[in-house]
Formats: sequence, structure tokens, C-alpha cells
Amino acid sequence: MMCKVRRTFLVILFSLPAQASLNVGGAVTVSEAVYPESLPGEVNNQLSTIALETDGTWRLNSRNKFKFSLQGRGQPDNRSREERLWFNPREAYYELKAQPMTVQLGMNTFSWGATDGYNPLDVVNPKLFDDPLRSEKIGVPALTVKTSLGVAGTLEALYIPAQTASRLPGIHSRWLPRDIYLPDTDQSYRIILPTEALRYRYTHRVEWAHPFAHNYGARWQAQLGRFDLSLAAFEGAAQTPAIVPSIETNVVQIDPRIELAVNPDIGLEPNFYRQRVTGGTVVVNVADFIIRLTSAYTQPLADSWQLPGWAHETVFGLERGVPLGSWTLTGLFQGSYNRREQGASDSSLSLTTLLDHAVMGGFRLADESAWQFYFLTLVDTRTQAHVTSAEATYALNDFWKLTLQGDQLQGRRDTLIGTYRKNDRAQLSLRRAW
Amino acid sequence: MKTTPALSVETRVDSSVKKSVKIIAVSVLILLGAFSIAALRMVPAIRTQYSVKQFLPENHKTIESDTKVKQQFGLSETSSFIATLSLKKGEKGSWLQTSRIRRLAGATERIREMRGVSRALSLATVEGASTVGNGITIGRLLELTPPHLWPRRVLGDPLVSPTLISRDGRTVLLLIEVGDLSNTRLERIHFDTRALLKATFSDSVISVGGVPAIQSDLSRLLSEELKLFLLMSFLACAVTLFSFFRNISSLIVPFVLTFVADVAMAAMMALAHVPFTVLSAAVPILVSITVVGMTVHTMLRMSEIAHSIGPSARRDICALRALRELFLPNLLASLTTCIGFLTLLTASVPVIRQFGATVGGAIMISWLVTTIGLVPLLILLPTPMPRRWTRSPARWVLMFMQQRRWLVPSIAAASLILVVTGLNLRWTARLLDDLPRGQETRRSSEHIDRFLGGLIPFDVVVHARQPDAWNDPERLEILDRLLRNLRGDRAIGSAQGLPDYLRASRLAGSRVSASRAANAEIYMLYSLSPENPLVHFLTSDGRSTRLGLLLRDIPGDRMRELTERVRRQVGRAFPEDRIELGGMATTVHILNNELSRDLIFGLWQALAAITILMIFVFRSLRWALVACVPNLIPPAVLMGAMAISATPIKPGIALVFSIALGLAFTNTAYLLVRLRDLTKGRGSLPVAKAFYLESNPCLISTLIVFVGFAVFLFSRFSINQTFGVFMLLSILAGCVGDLVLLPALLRLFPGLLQPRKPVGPLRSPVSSAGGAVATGLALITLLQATPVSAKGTIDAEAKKLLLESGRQMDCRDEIARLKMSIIEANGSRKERLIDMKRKGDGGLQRLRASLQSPPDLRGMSFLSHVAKESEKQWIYLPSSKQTRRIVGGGGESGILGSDLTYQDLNPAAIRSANLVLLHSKGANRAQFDVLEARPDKSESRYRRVLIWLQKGTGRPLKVEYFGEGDKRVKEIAFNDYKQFAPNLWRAQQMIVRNLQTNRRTEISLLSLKVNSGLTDDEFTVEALGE
Repeated sequence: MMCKVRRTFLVILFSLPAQASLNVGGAVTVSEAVYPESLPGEVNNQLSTIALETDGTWRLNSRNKFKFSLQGRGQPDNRSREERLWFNPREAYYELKAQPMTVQLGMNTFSWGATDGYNPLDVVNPKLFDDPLRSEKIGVPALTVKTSLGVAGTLEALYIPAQTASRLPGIHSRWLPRDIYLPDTDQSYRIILPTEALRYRYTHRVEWAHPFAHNYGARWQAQLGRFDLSLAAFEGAAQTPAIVPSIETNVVQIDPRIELAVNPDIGLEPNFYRQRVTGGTVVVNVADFIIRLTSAYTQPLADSWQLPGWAHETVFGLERGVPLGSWTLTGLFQGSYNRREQGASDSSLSLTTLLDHAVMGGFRLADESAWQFYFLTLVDTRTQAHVTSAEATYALNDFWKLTLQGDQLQGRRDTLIGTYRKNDRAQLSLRRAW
Repeated sequence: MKTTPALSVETRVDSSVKKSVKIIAVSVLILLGAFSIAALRMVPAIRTQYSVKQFLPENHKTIESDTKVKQQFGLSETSSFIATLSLKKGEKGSWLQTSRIRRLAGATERIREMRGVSRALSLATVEGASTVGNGITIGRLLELTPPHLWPRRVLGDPLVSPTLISRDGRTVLLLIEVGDLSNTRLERIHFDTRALLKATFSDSVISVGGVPAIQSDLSRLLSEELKLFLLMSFLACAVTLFSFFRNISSLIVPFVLTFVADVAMAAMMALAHVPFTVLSAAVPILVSITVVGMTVHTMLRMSEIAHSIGPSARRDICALRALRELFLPNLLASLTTCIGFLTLLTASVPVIRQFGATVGGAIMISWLVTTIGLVPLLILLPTPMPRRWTRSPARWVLMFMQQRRWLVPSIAAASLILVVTGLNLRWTARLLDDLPRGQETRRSSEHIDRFLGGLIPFDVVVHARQPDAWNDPERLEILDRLLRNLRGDRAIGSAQGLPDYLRASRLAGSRVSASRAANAEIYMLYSLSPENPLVHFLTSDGRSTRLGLLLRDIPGDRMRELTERVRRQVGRAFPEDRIELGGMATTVHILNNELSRDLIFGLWQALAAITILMIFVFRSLRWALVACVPNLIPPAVLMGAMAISATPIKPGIALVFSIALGLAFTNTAYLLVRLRDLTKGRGSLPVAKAFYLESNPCLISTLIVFVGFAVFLFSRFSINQTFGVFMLLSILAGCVGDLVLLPALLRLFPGLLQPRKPVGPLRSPVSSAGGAVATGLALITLLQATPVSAKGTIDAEAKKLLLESGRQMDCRDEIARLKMSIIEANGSRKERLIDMKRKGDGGLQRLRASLQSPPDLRGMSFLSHVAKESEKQWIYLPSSKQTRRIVGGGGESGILGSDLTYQDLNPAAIRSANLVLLHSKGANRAQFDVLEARPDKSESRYRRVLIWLQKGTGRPLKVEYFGEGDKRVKEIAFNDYKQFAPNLWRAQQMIVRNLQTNRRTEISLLSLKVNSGLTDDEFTVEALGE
């Protein structure tokens, strides 16, 4: 028996490489970001980044392959020590295809949902929030099984034994509130903000309902005529933890009203919790337009005042591509309608409340080879605060790419966007792929 | 003669078109006129500004240090007018007479009351200490001192002589401090002071000098000269233009446009609240250069077009065509100049940044005004008529090409030598040499500089460690010795310090100090004075003291040495203490030199920015680098010439570098765009033809600009003359670079811009060892979708041929690896490697393509399901692992940047086509069957498509697409058929040529596997990401 097993193993070992092919590539990106407006405290007004990424596929034969996609990034002058170096194994999994099933085992990332930018169903992977406007997914160890149901579509199930936590902005990040506005409307007390810059520190992490253990989910997808449909459910750690600030104050006056002076040292307590998300997507092609709809219902699985309540988020998107000579203009409009449990907590890190009454519009203009322009603006319809992002990319050839990017955040100081209004940014990056 | 009815209709249509064109042209000009009038009304809102401060950078350490010193010692931030009153030769006595001092006091008081004057000081009003009986009294020095003691008290006191009265007592000086005022106000104070002093002191020669006087005089003289220059430039340009063109319209067109552009530029400045500074004087010149350059090029090109068409040439068509042909070079010439100036935005000096932005904006406004107004003017006015020699091609340039073997190395070597020489630039500028020699302000300032104790303030602060350190008699003795030593230096006009005030409180000639207590008492007494002079020399904690020096106007490099020498001397005297420097002597030359360095060496930033622009425009790094080569000559020549002529570098001179760069690229843009246009569709580089045609327009526009700048040689100011000389030199150098070096270089090294791979014949041999071709969508959709369900009509023969042809292409499924090469008109090449799977199942064609290279697109996959009446497409983006549905594929946009568009493969268009078999004529008849498809206009932009099938086999060999006016716009050739299975043929290569853009795409098949039993699961959306 052992002999048979050994022989089989040897046959597999020596026969696989005979058909194997390895395809590896990667890119290096050097970028320099400049924030024209300075903020109080030790924050970066400019940031140099070098990013390396490599990906590849080792195809053993038509049924077996190993795929990897690794990212590394260095920001030597980042004031937040924890943000200086970052390594993310987005993918490193083995895949076995045994029709009609496909099994993947290893580090993986998942893209669920159909809308752009704001996608309430894309909840499987934790995120890197160093830059919340461009958060990146972090690879997680997962077992994925996909099976074809023929004309009825595909079913996919995944299991993550040990989920990873999202990474929050560093303590010297510009994405922690630095320029806080407190309206002085209460007659009984007044809060006096410190004259010196706020200093943040993360306190111990709190976990509610074992968020990182045994995450799992499933998704069904199908193409029915001009409709692309999907239904999905996931139970696991919420991507954005609830942040509970710990603020110390000193009473500096009692009469005629209480005045509290805030201590500039602020503690941040990340509360990670488990949640269940269910939802679906519809994509339909109507008269040269693509209509996208994603709807999701999220229910936290722990009951605490620190945590947000249930939420029902619906995002509707409209897309149209128009040829303009040798250029193609792709226009995008997206709106959202969300309902949330009243009085629940929220964190200023999360963009979700910002998007509750938001519309997003933008376009991408690309020529046949070299140029690509991208513009996107998001407006909070309640406060008229907006975030605008623009990008121009020029591909010098197939290997070199130069990108100029700019973000502008504008809004009243008492709005979420307004809190970060000094985080306007211009970034120039050069990318070399191989 | 009778005209036929058809002809008369044509004539009527033609005249109606002409009339419409004229109406449009008049409307545009009316709009432009209205805009000019509106803009003209805004012009008076422009503020003028001239101040030394505007040239100071932000947060510079020398400024910070100077400001700190001024704050510590309560020194005025502003400079002073200095009036000198010298007794006339016949007048007896000196100023130390009661009546004269009384009049001087009265005049000083009246000047002090003038608006804008913050302080006025003369010998008659200066504060001092005097020993009266046993005590010391502080007050006006001459009121405290009995008149018979004046000569002894005053002439021996370094606080007063020679700074307020000359050593012979016959000249006194009046200091008038003013705030930060406008030039108009400064001029008013200047005028009123002179008038008052002349009326009061008829026995004296009056002159007014000082930095504000220089500023106001300089500003006034410059503006007077600028007006004169504009007029002279206008006349000179007019004469030059007239020597190249025969009629008056060729003068009117550029001048009208220059006027409108100048007015628009001024309105822009007014709207943006940008003041008119001394640097802005260059803006109208640059606007004129831009407009005249564009206009001259367009007029000459229009004449060239009219000449090529012949007598029937219509003016409006020629004008429009000329503008269309020159749109890119005009834009490029303006953009390069604009970018050159926009790089000044990185300078640390606000006024330089403002200048960069103003010129950048003005250049683009000039381009816009010229682009809008030029054609209407050319249509309405008589056609500009170049003189015969102007119109003739530039045969002379061929001579330079012939002499290329020695010209290129000689110019390169000369440039290199000039650059090396130019590294030794002279930073020896003085402050007072900007004004014309003999001019009153300059004379007066020089007099003060030489005989009345110097003009340029220099402050040395000594910070002791202990408080009240300057009560210490020993330290004061050292300080006194130091001051005496400094007064011995010929470059130092005067030096004052704490010991002088201590001595002034005792009898002349006594020791500086006796004891700490005595010194403290004197300080206390001084503090009781209404204007305590010690606050300017001692801080309240007694730790720091200031040495106030006035330096003579020596060259910048020597001044720097002097300030360093003084620092070392003071450091040696007080080794334990910290030394700090301040005053104009530490700032003005250093900052001027830094500013000049910024302007000279910032040029490389501009060059880099322009290179990037050129890369974008020419889509080629090689073309961009070649464009830069001739433009390195002007800066090299300028650097060398400035070093050889030992010209002291000042910001006004350094500015030449920026202007020169902007000018130099203009001709390069016209020449290279002409070369690129002529290269299209050729395998070789027509250098000779391009330069033969374009060199004369470039030379003529350069000559006009040259004459315009030659006016500067007649300036009264040496700085303007120098500016003019170097501008002319840079224009000549630019001309040599563009019209001598560039053609010779391109002839010597033709490979520099030569397309890397010449366009081959239609049936080029294919080296690929792979099997068949064009597995792809092209043939499958073209040949299979058509006969099955044509909405249009199809004749029986055509149907039979297509069915036969389709049978030869058909298989169940195929797996292929394709190489797609996209070749631009300039020869640059991009390659894509694509893995493709296709499966046909009845009416449904499924295709999955996945990119393996280039690296940036690797992993991107497409899925297409093409059914009889519908088409669905998805794309997989590996960066986000997202699969997205897409629509239509963009119609006219190329697939993966190639020349094969989705519309070429549009099944709906093919199905809607009317298909007929054309019976070919001539030799082709025996070889080919030609099908003609006329698609529905709503489905396709092509008017007809010709499909060439090989007779007998029915294999497609060529598809030709025809657009509007039955113009052939695209061609797809299928080459090198090979059999892969029984009754299954594939071409190994497909070449798509876009005949409008001269781009082409070659698709070669590297491998092919057919009928391997692909399943439907391979073509699902989920399979895309695998």
C-alpha cells in the first residue's frame, strides 16, 4: 500500500513539472505626495513612497496551479512608524480544478458586489486604512470552493479560519482628526479645545463576538440574458472597527457655565466586532447604458453602545461609454440610499455615513494608447461637502507610466469631509512594470 | 460667354458660401472688438508696484536674520531719501552757523509733516548728550551745545560727522524716512522735497538721492523708455515686415492681433489683481513676439498653399488650411514658451512666481487671440503677399546640410567651451549703476556714498551671554577699538556703536567709560530722552549691542567678502559671544545673486518640463530629445558671452535666459512638426524637404523679433543695453541651433528620428512559425454572421461565395496565442501577447481573450458572447479582481489600442449591409472575387466595404473600408494561409492599416490548436479571472 502511495506521489512529482509553466511579473512605483495645507502636530506634509508588487502563476498542468500576488511598500519619511513599511500577500493560493468544481486554498482576496467606490457587499477582506480614500484590501487565509450549476450559474463558498484585522491610520496620520470643530451652542457647558496639536495613541483592542474566528460566506452568480445577478451572504469581522475615543478633560470653570479644557492626548480604542451581511446585485445592459444595483443589509452580532446598529444600504449606478474619435469617454453616475438604526455609534474613519446621502459622478477619458484622464466627485447632498479626485495618466510605453493625481476635500468644518478639508493632495507617481 | 445652368448653380452656391464665410469672419471680429473694448476698460485697474522687498524670497535665512536685528533694535524697515545741501562755491562759512542751522531745522520739520514721511532727521534736529555744568543733558545736540563749541563738538563726533555733515562742514545731509509707498507717492515726496529745499536754501546746491529716489527715478525712466521702445519696436517691426511682404494687410494683421492680445493680457492682470512690476515690462514684448511669430508663419504658409493650388485658390480655404496645418506648431510654440515661464513658479521669490504665471497666462492668451482672430482678418483683408525672395524655399539650408561633417562637431565643441567658460560668471553687480551716468539721483547717491559716510546699511550684533554685559568698561574699550579699526577700512563709509554715545556724553576726547555704574547712569539718562538713540544700539536686557555700519557701493562679491571679514573681526574681538549680521549689505547682493542663479539655472527645469511636453506631443522620447538639442545653444552662448564680457549678473540680465529658451523652442516646434507631417506615410525622413520649406518662415519671424529687440541697444540705461545685446545674441544662437545645427545633425545622424522599422509591403513575409491567423473575431464575425441573417439584400453569387469562404474558416473551437504589434506613424512600436479561446455553437460565438503582455495589462481578460441579434461583453480587471460588464466596446475606439475597432467587427453593421459581387476588371479579374458591402448608415461609419476573396479557394485576402467621399480609410490584409485541418485554413498574419493616421497593427498567430473540445465553462464570467 505504502509502495503504491509512494509511486503515485513520485509520478505526480515528476510528471507535473513537465507541463508546468511559470509566468511572473511585477511593477515598481515611486510616488511623491504633497499636501499643500499644513496641519498642527507631527504629520506629513509630503510623503515619498516606493511600492513593489509582484504576481505570478505557476501552472502545473491544466488542473493545478499556484497563484501569488505580493505587495510591499516603503514610506521612509512617514511620521507614523507603523506605516513606514507594509507587506501584503494579497494572494498566495493553490488552485485545483476538478470540473465542475474549483478549490482554492491559501491567501486570497475577494471582490463581491457590482458598484464602484462604494460597494456595501464587498466585505470579505479587511482593509488597509492608511489612506481611507484609497483603502486597499488585505489578503486573508481562506478555503474557497466554486461549483458550476450550468445555466443556473455558479455557487461559491468560502471559509476563513482566522480573519485578519483592518489596519487603522498611524498615530501621526493626517486621517485622524487634527482640526476639530465643536459648535459652542450649549448654554450649560463649553468644551475648550487644546491650543497645542492633538496627540493620538491607540489603546488596547476590544473584540466583540469573536470577530476573527471562523468567518464564512457564500455567493451565487448567474447571467440570465442581459442580466447579471448575484446573491451573497457573509458572516465575519466588520471591515471598519468602531473607534471609541478616550478624552481627558480638566474643569477650568464652573460658573456661569462649566468649561472643560480638553487634554491634547487622546486615546483611540478600536472595537472590532462580528457582523452578518446579506445582499445582492443586479447588472443590466439597457440601450448602451449599464445599470448597476447593489443592496446589502448589515447586522452587527453584538449588542453594545460602542457599536453601530443595523444598516440597509442600496447603491445605484449608471454607466455609459461614448466614443469620441480615437478617445473613449466613460461616464459614471452613482447614488445611494441608506437607512440605519437610529442613535447607534459611528466612527469618523468609516465612509459609510458620509455616503448615506451622497451622489457620485465622474468620467474616464482614454485614448487608444497613451492618455487616460479620470475625474470623480462625490457630494454629500445634506451638507454639500464634497470630495473630488482627478487623475491624468500618460503611458510612455508599455512599461513606463506617469500619473498625476489630485484630491480635493471641501466642506464646512462641522461635517465629516470638512474635518479632513486640509487633506487636499497632489501626487506624482512613476510606475515601471515588467 | 454663356454659362451652363449647372455651372451657374455652382457659382451661386460658391458665392453664397463665400458670403457666409465673410459673415462669420465679420462676426468673429466684431466679438473680438467688443472683447477688446471691454478689456480696455479694465486696464486702468492695473496697479503698478516697485519695491526692493518684492524681490525678497520668503523665509530666507538672511531676511529672517535681518528682520530679527531690525526688530531687536527698533530699526526702520524702510529706506530713506537722502538730500544733500552743499554750500555754493561763492558762499562763505559753513553750515555750523546759527542762521543756517535754524533754516535747516525749519525745513526738516516741514518735510517731516509731509504725507508718507515717517521721520526726517538733519544735523539741526539730531538728538545727543551734552555735559552742562556738572550734569549731562539729553536733547537736540545743537540746542544743548553753545554755538562757539559746535565745530569741536560736531566735527569730532563720529555719530554726526560725516553721516550728517561733511568733515569740511560745507555739506549737510537730510534723512527722510518713508513708509512702504507707491511709486507715485515716492515721486511726489521726491519732487516736493527738492522744491522745498531749493526755495529755502538758495545758497546751496540741492540734490536728492537714496534708495527710494533711485526706485522712483528708475521706475519713471523705465516706464518712459518702455513707451518709447514699444513705439520704436513697432516701427522697426513694421519696416522689417514690409521688407518681407508687399502689401499693407501683412502689417495690419499682426499689429491688430498684438494690440488685442496685449489688451487681453492687461485685462487678465487687472482681473487677477496682479500688479505691474518692473519684470512685467517684458510681458508686452513676449506677447508681441508670440503673436508676430504665429502670424508671420501663418501668412507664409497661406501663401505657400495658395501658390500650390494656383489662381483658383480661395482665400478663405487657404487661410483655414494654413491655420489647420499650423495649429499644432502654433500651440506647441506657445506651450513651450508658457512652460518655460511656468517653471518660475518654483522660485522662492513671490514676484518671480507672479512673473512666471503672468507670462505663462499672457502667452496662452496670445495664442488664443491669434488663433481666433487670424483667419477672419486674413479672409477679410487682402491676402498678404510675400515678396518673391521671401516666398522662395530656403536653398541656403542645404549648404549647412552639406557641411554637416564639420558643422556639427564645431558647434558642439564651441557650445561646450562656452558652457565651461560660463561657469565662471561674474557676480560683481553694484547697486547704483542701473541709473544713467550723470543723472541727478545717481550723482547725489554716489556723492553720499563717497563723501558722506556710505549708503548701504550693515548691522553687526554682538550677543553676550550675561545680562548688562555692555556696562562692562573692558568690553566697551574692545568695542571702541574695533569701531576705530572698521572706520579705517576704505569700503566702510562710517561706523557707529555704543562707545560713540558714551563718549558723546562726556567731553570729546575723554575715555569711553570709567566704571559699570557710570555707564549704567549714562544709559539711564539717555532713556529719559524723548527719542532715546540707544534703543538702536543696546537691547533692554543689556546683552546685545549693535554696530551700525554704512558701506560704500562696492561690487557684490567684494561686499560679501567684506561682511564676512567684519564678522570674523568681531568674532575675534568677542570670542565668547554670538555674532549676527543684518542690513541691506547682507541681503541685497546675496538675494540678487540667488535670484539670478534661480533664473539662470532654473532654465534646466524649464528644459525638462518642455521635454516632457515634447514627449507627449511627438509621442517619442527620441523626437523630444532631438528637439532639445538646438535649444541648448542659446543658454550656452549666453553663459559664455556673459563670462567673457565680465558682465555683472543681475536679475534683469538673468531674465534673458528664460526669454531665450521660450523663443528658441518656437522655431524648433515649427520645423519638427513640419518634418513629422512630411514623414507620415514615408519610410524615410525628409529632412531636406522639411527644412527647405520651413526654414525661411522661421528665419523671417526670427529677423522680425531680432529687429524688435535691437531697439534696446538705444536705451539710456546700461542695463537695458546689456539686456538688448544678450537678447540679440540669444536670438542669433537660437537661429544657429535651429537652422544650422538641427538640419546638419539630422543629416549626419538620420537614425535619430528615422522610423525604426520602415513600413513594409502589404504582403510582407511572416517569420512566425505558428499556424494560421486571424482566428479572432474579425473573420469569424465577418464571414459567419453575414450570410446567415442579413437584414440587407444579398445577391445569390455573393451568398454562395461567402458560405464557401465561411466553410474554410469554420471549426468547433480553437485555442490560439496571438502577437499584436501596434506601429505608430513615427515608427514606435507596442506589442501585446494574447491568449485566445473561441467556441462556436450554432448561432452563438463565444470568445475569451486574456492578455499576457505588456506587463501593465497582464491578466486582463475579455469575454464576448455574440449571438444573432445581441452581443454581451465582460472585462476582468486583475488589479481589483473585478469582472465588469461592458457595452459596445466603444465603436470607433481601437481594440487594445490597435487599429482594429469594434465597428470593424460590428455584426449588426455587417448584417444590415447590402452585399453584391463586383466583377473586377483587368488582371485582378482572374485572381479575385470582390464583394461589396454597403452597411446601413445608422449602423456603421463606413459607406462601403470591399472584401477581396481568392478565386477558387474563396479565402479572404483583403478587406477595404471606405468612409465619407468614398475615401479609403482602412485596409485589413490576410497573409500566408496555412492549412491546419482538413478543409480548415487560416492566414498566419493580419495587417490592419489605418490610412488616415498612418498607424498599422500586425496580428500574428504564434500557435493554434483547433477542435480540442473546449467546454462552455471556459466561457463563463467566473472563468474570466482564472
